[in-house]
Amino acid sequence: MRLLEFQAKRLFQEAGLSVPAGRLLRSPLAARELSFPVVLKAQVPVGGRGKAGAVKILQTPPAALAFAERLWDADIKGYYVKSLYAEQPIAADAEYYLSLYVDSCCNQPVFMTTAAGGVDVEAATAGGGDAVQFTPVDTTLGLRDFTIRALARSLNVSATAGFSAFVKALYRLFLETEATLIEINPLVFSENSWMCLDAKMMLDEKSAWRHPAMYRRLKSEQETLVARKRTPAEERALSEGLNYVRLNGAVGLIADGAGTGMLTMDMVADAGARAANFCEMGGLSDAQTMSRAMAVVLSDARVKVLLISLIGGMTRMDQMADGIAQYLNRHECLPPVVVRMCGTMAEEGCRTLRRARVAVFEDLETAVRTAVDRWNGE
Amino acid sequence: MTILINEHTRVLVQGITGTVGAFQTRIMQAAGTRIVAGVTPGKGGEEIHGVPVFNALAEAREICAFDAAISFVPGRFALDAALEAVSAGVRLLVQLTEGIPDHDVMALLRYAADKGTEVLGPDTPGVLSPGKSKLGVHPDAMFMPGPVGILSKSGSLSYEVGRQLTRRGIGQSTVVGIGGGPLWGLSQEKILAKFNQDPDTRVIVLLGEVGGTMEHDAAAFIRRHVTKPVVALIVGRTAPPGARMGHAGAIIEGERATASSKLQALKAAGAHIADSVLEIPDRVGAILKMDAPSFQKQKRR
Repeated sequence: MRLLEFQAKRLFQEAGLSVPAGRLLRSPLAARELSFPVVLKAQVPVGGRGKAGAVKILQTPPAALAFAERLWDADIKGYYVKSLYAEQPIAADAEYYLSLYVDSCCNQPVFMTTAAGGVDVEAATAGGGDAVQFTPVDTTLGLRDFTIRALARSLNVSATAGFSAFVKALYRLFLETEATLIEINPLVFSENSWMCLDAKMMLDEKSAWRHPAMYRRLKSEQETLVARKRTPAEERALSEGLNYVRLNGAVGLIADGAGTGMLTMDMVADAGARAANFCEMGGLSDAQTMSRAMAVVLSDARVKVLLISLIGGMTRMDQMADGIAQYLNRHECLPPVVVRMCGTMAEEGCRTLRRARVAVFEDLETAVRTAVDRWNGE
Repeated sequence: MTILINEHTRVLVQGITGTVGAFQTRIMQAAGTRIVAGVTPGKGGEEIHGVPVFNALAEAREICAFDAAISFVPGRFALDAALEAVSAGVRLLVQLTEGIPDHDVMALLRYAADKGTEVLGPDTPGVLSPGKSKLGVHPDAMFMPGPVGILSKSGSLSYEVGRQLTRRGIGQSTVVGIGGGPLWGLSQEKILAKFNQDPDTRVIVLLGEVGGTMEHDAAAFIRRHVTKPVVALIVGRTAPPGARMGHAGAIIEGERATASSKLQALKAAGAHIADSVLEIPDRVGAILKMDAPSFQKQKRR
């Protein structure tokens, strides 16, 4: 779960990290009632807001109002602006970059730092040159002074008590919220303290049950303040809890595994068509999951043929076939449906599908070819 | 021989009294797995498919010897159960559970590293040595014993490839699913090292996907250390950047996470690249037809 900047900064503040004084604006009119100069920042959960024109320093109330009105409901990288964050501008000589994340190579927290922070940090980090340093933390030791000193060296600053307190507070916040990423860019030294001018935070929703109060608040805010451009199929998939990715083609796709789902998607492309979507049901699916996935994918009018790619391991093919047959029974005028089915209880499943007059194949290649032929109108 | 498990591996099942745990226990037994004990706190004294159930691993340890554990324990209780298994000194822990918080996985893998326990997963279909033993949920009928080692992030993709090989009469030494990420106990690199040393594995099939950079580490390891032929396939070639393709780790973020950069690295390391899954049996079959001494990687470019 990616937090909005103001949400992350509130958590920062509660953890004892310094952030500029700020206020959330829930209407453009509120932009007139600020103390100036002010920085206005669109609250959308994406990076590169500055370059997208969604962050600006303003000197007067009319200018702030004009900017806020222009930005309100505007589309910033697929999200509509529903709130602005107003902050006191902070001037600084140097901009640093510091992030702390769960690293999938060493399975431990790692700090990534560079003294060359700011809007072009991606160029520096992508190159992976000497400018960027990685400092792991051993969780059995916790955050020790030698690690804090290494971080100070990497940023070319001195490891003062203030710096140490800043890093410790950050690390504590990372543990307490079970974040997977906290990124501060830029981090500046201003008025004798380390101050976080921007804040990006990703939380691990798999741990939400351990933090009910925190998630309740964050989610209720995001329900009203995060508005994404979504198609009806995407909306439906979200409410059904299915992994659904919209693509540009006309072959609807449902799979019972991530690997075979991606494989089928690639094979559809190799056969000269394009998938309309990627939809994976997960390992423990039943007949209802299947019907719901069909409802999601078929709510997309671009789908001219539906290809269901099943290779039963944990999923039972008899149940999948029941789900498919039930859906087809209840709906009419559907595009052609082609099923690939093999694995656990596949014999029973295929029998059910043949009775329901569904094209079913044991072989993936044949299923893909048949689906693409149907799309071609053959 | 096989890797990770064999017909002698003595297995303890954590969460054996749950619906999935009990069901899969019976299927694993049918696949030849020697299941000697099960654990569910509070259910000690019961019996599941002839397997005695204990309240704790320490209790089970007093009655019988086991060297591997497989866990069906759900996400909220998974860390505690896994730490218990590591603390009881199991050599291998197969962590099937999906949805364990990342900070819990970090704690588990750190402790396991200290205690010398190898962890497969989390979110893995497990490991299967056809005809010998299975600590996982693979559909056995798609596999048969033979010389090919399969290493996959995705369970379903390893079933697909196993099925295609088996239909062509090419069997498998061991089939390993490492899991969908974003954190992994045993990595591709560590499994490659084991296959490379296993005398009964003659060809290694590496099934990767878009997202993350693990395949680049695997490529570097193949270049430096792997003497056996590797056939590699990366799925998700047509996936858009920034979207999560089913697995937590399958998101294209940055050039190194793309299929093309991974394929390029694997090719440069000497792996045979399969453009499609249908090519894998042909490639593997051709390699196996060659004389034993010439089982070499492709010449480096």
